[in-house]
Amino acid sequence: MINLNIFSELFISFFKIGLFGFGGGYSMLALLEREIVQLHKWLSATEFVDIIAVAEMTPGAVAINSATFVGYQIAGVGGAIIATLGVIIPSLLLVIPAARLVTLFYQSKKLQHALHGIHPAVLALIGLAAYVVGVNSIVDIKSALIGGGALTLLIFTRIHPLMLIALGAVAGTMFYL
Amino acid sequence: MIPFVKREMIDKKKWMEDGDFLDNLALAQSLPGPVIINISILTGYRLRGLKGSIVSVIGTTAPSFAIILIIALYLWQHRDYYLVQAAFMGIRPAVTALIVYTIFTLGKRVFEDYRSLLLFVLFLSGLIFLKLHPVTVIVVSAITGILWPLKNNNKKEQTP
Repeated sequence: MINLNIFSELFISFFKIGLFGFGGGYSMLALLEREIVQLHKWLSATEFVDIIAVAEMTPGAVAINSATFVGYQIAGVGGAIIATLGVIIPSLLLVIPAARLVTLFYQSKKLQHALHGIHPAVLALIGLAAYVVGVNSIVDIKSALIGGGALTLLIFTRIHPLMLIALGAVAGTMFYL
Repeated sequence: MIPFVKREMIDKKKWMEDGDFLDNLALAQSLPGPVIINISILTGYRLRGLKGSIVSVIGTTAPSFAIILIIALYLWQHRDYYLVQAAFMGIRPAVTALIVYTIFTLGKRVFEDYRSLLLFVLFLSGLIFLKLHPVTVIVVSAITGILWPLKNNNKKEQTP
């Protein structure tokens, strides 16, 4: 019975994340953190950050990968299935009717304005994700150096995210062993 | 991921035209939910209706689902090993940098209107210091957008 309870809580949490996950990937992480770490305390902040790192390294959408992983950590394979379905089902229910409505009202100024108005908020959500992950990652001078170096590489070279994460792992073993 | 989707759907399978793909992409990014899932639903629906949508979603989800399960089942238990711990001390700041960099790249277009930057700072402070719920911020931003329209930067958005 306890299990059934956790499954429904998991489903509702991830359904919310799918339903309000405007702006894709990283902005959904902010929602995920609020639900999983702060509200339900299912995972510690560090566990959460590590799961995101793995979700980032694995092919596929970050939001879905983290949902699968978090679901598994909380309630095993069943949890992984429930959490993944929870994130996807709002899209399945919404996208086709919304696509019809949007095509119908796409010329509507108000809709255009609302869709544009969301942009700064989506960036703020990504900012929140960066803040949450950053606070738990940049813990001393060495990690600050790794983070600064990684950002510099991203800005000035066309480094692939996977390569960057691999370099981070190498830097970690060099600095922290 | 988007360029990969485009190559598969337009160049290889010729399921739709360039313009239609961009329209679908813009739509997928405007609606809530993972962008890739929304694209799969739109494409599947266009080709084979609801069944097509469901099959496409299963197709895009199944591989990563399997990979994540394998990692969770067999590799995650080695996380406490000292070598892995040290590696993660470096991986975490790298992931932080990836997320911060996204704000830079997306911000270039969005912040062309200085009011966007102002709203961004306000929303972010509200999220961090007042612990506003992300959904609240999304709803408030849509309303502000209607009352106080931002300059239309009229380019196709790219979100990760």
